[in-house]
Amino acid sequence: MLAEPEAAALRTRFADALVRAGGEWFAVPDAAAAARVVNDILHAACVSSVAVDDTPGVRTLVTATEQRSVFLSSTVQNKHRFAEAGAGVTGALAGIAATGTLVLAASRSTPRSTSLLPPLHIAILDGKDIVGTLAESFARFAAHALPSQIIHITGPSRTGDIEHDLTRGVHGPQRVVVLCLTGAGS
Amino acid sequence: MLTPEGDFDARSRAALATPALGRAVRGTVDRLRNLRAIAEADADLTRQRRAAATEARTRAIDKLPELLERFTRNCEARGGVVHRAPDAASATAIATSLLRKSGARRVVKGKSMVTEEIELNAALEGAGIEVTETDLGEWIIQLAGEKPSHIILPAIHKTRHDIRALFEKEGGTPLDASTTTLCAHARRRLRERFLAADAGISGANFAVAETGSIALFTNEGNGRLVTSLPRLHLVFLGMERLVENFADLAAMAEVLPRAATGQDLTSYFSIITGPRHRGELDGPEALHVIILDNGRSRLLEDVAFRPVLRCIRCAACLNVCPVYAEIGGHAYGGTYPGPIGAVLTPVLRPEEHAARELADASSLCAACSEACPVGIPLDELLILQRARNATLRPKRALRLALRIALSGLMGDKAHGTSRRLRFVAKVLGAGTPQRRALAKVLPMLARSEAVRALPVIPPQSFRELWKALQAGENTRAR
Amino acid sequence: MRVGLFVTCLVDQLRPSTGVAAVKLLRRLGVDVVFPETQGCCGQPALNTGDPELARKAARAQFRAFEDCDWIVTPSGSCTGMMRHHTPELFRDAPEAANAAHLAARTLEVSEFLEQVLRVKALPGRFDARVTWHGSCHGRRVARVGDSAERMLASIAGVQLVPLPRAEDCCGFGGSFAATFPELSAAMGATKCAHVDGTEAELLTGNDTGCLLHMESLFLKTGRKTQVRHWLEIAEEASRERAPC
Repeated sequence: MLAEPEAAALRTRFADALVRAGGEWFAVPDAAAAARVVNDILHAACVSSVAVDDTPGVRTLVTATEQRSVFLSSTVQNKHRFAEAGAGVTGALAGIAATGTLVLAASRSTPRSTSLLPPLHIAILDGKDIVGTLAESFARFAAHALPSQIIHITGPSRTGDIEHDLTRGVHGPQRVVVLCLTGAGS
Repeated sequence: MLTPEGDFDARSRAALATPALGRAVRGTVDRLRNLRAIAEADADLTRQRRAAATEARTRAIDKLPELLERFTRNCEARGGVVHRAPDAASATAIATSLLRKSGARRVVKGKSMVTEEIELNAALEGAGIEVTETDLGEWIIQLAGEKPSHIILPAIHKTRHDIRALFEKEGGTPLDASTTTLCAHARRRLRERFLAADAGISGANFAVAETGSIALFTNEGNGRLVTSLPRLHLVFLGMERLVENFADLAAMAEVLPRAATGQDLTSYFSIITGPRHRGELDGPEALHVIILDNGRSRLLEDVAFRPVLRCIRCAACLNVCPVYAEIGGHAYGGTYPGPIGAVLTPVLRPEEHAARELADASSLCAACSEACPVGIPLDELLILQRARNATLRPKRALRLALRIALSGLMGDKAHGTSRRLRFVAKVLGAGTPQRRALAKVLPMLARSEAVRALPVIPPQSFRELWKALQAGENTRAR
Repeated sequence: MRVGLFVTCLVDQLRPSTGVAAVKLLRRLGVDVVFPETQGCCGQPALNTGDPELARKAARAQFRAFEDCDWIVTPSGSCTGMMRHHTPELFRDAPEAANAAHLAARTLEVSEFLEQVLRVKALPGRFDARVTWHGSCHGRRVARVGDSAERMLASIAGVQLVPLPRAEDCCGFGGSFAATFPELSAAMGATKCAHVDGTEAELLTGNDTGCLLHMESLFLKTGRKTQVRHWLEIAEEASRERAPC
C-alpha cells in the first residue's frame, strides 16, 4: 500500500498523460460522487442507452431514466445492442501512470464490446490500482492464467490516415472518460 | 512481379513527375519526424529503451526455432491453433481452407503487412470470399485498387480530395472533404461490415513465446473490432516477430509507438491469448495463427543480414529517408518500401534482380540506421547488398572506369593519373562540343545536365598547386 | 609533429582552392603541413559501388602514403568516415587490420584537428557574412565529426551562422547515387535548396566538397544567388588579415 503522497503523485501523472492522449479525467472521492458524475456526463451527452459492466462498483452506478435505458453488458448476446448504445461504462484492472493507460481484461462479466462499440467509454478506476509503468501492470497477471484478451486503452480512438490530420473516434470510442476514485471521502 | 512498370529508376521518375505526391509524403513524414523527436527527446532514456528492445529482439532471433516451438505449444494449450506456412502460396491456401471450412463468406481485416506480402486479398477474393480492409488507410487503398505506400500510413500519398472521390464512389452519396466527414463516413460504412463479418483477419506486432499470446498495437480500434466481433479470428504472423516473455513485450511497447507515431503508447495495445473463454459473450470462438516464413529462414542463415529480422516495422527509417520523402513507397515496387524494403525485398523475392538493385536507391546518408530503434545497420547492409549484386551482375563499364581512376590514383602513378583525369574532365567539360556529342550517346549524361549545372574545371589540380605552395608559403611559415 | 594533408579526389580535381586554404590556414596556425604525393582515394566510391576489393587496394595505398604522419587531416567528413569507420571494417580479421586501425586512429577532419589537437578555441580574423551550414551525412553519422566545424566557423568574428532547418537531411549527392538517379538526386537537393532559401543566408558552407558542388550545381541551374564555399576557404580568408605579408 502506497503512502498517500505517492498515490497522489501517481494519480497526477496518470491524469496528465491521459489528458495528453486526449482522454478526460475526473477525480471523485467515492462511489456516490462517481455515480453523480457518470449520470451527469451521460445526461450532457444525451445518451439514451448505456451498457454497464457487471462488476462491483460499476453495475449499480448508472441510473435508468425516462430518456435512458441501462443494460448489463454480460447479459447481452446481440452485438448490435452495443453498437446502438450511446455509452459503455466499465471498471479497470489497473491504470498506468506513465502513459495514462487503462488496463481492462475480457471476462464473462466484462465483455470486450462495452469499451469498444459505443462512442463514449466511461471507466471507473480505483486510485489504488494506478501503477507506474506497463511492466508493473504486467506483473499483476499470472502468465499461466491470462484472460483471453487484455486491452490497454490510452485515450480515444484516433487516426492520421487522412493527410495525417489527427482525428478521434474513427472506429473505437470518440471519448474516453476516466473517473478515479481517490478514497478521499472515506 | 516486382516491376509492373519498369525499374526503380523509371518508377521514381514517374513519382517525381507528380509533384502533389512529393508534397503529400514530405508533409506527413515531416510531422511524424517532429512527433518522434518529441517522444524521443530524452536522449539517455531513448538510448536505454533502444538497448533493451535491441537486446530482446536479438535474443529472440538467436533462439527463434526454440521460441517458435514454445509459442506454438503455449498458444495451443490456450485453445489456439498454429499453422506454419513456408511460403505465400501455402499461407493463402491455409487461410482459404480455414475460412471455407467454417463457412465464412465475409471477412474484415485489420492492417497487416504480412498479408500484403502474400497478396492474401486477391487469393481470398478468388475463392469467392468478400474481404474488407478496415484500417482507414488500408480501406482507402483497397478502394483505389492500390498497394500501401508506407508501412504504417498506407495512404500517405493520397490527398483528402482523392479520398473523398473514392468514398463518394463507394457510398454513392456526395461528401465534403473534411477529415470529420470522411472519418464519419468510414465509421458508418465499416461498422456495418464489422457487425456482419464471419471472420476477422489481423496481423501481429509480436507473439509472446512464454504465454502463446499475440500483441497488437493500434490506434483506430479496427484491430480490436476485427479480433473481438467475428466468430473466427485468423492471425498472420511473420516468423520473426517473436519475443520471449512479457518483460520483453514491455520493452517493445516502450519503443514501437514512439518510433512509429511519436506516441508514448498507441491508443490500443491488445494482448490476445487464445479464443474466448467459456462463458464469454464476445471474442472469437476459434483462433488460428498462421506463421509465415517466405524467405525469413534464409535471413536467419545469413549472418550479415540476420539483424534485418529484428525489424519491428515501425517505419522510422522511411520517415527519415530523404529518398522516400521525394517519391513515396510505390516507386520501390515491393511490399516494404524505403531502406528496410531495400534490404528485405531481395530476401522475399530472391529470383528478381530488380529487388536486389533497390540497394542502389539510397544516398547512403545513414539516417535510417540512426532512426532504427532496434539498431539495424541499414546503410551498411545496403553497401553489402551492393557488393553482392556486383558479384552477381557486375556493372562492367562502371567498375572498369572506377578501377582505372582509383588504381591510377594510388602510389607513384597518382600524379600522372591525376593529370590524365583532368584532361578527360576538361575535354568533356561543360559546353565543349565533345561533351555535347557524348551526351547524345550517354543518356545519363544528358539527364544529369537537364537538372544541374556542371562544375567548372579549374585550370590546375591541387597536386599541381602544391609545388607552388611548397616553394612559396613554407618560407613564410612560422 | 608531422601532419599530412589528405586532400581528397574531389578537392584535388574540382576544388583545389579548398586544399590550398587548408594548407594556408594550418600554416598560419603554426602547423607544418605536408602533402604526401603518393596519396590516392580513400576508397569510398569503390566500396559504395559494390567493389570492396578495390576499396581495400585504395586503403593499402593510403597506409603507405601516410605511414610517417602523426596525423592525417582532411577537409572531408565523408572521407574521414571512410578511413575511420569503413576501412577498419574492410580489414577486420585481415593481416593489415593493424594498419587500418592505425590509419583510422590518426585520421581527423580538419576542424577536429584544430579543436582536439591544436586546442583552438577561436579562429583568427574576420569574415562578415550570413552563413548557413550543411554538414555531410557521412561526417555526421559515420565519422561522427560532431559540431567541431560549426563551432570553428562560428568562432570567426563577423560570421553570422544561421541554423539550417532539417540540417541533418541528406542533400541528395550520395556519390554514385547522383549519377545513377540524377532527377531524384536533384529533387532531394531542391528540398535542401528550399531550406537554404528560408535561412536567407548569402553563403552555404559545409565540410564536404561533394555535397557543396552538388548544391552549387543546383543553385546555378535554378538561378539562385547563394554562394557556396567550403568552410576552410572562409576560415582561411578570415585569417588573411592577420597573416604576415
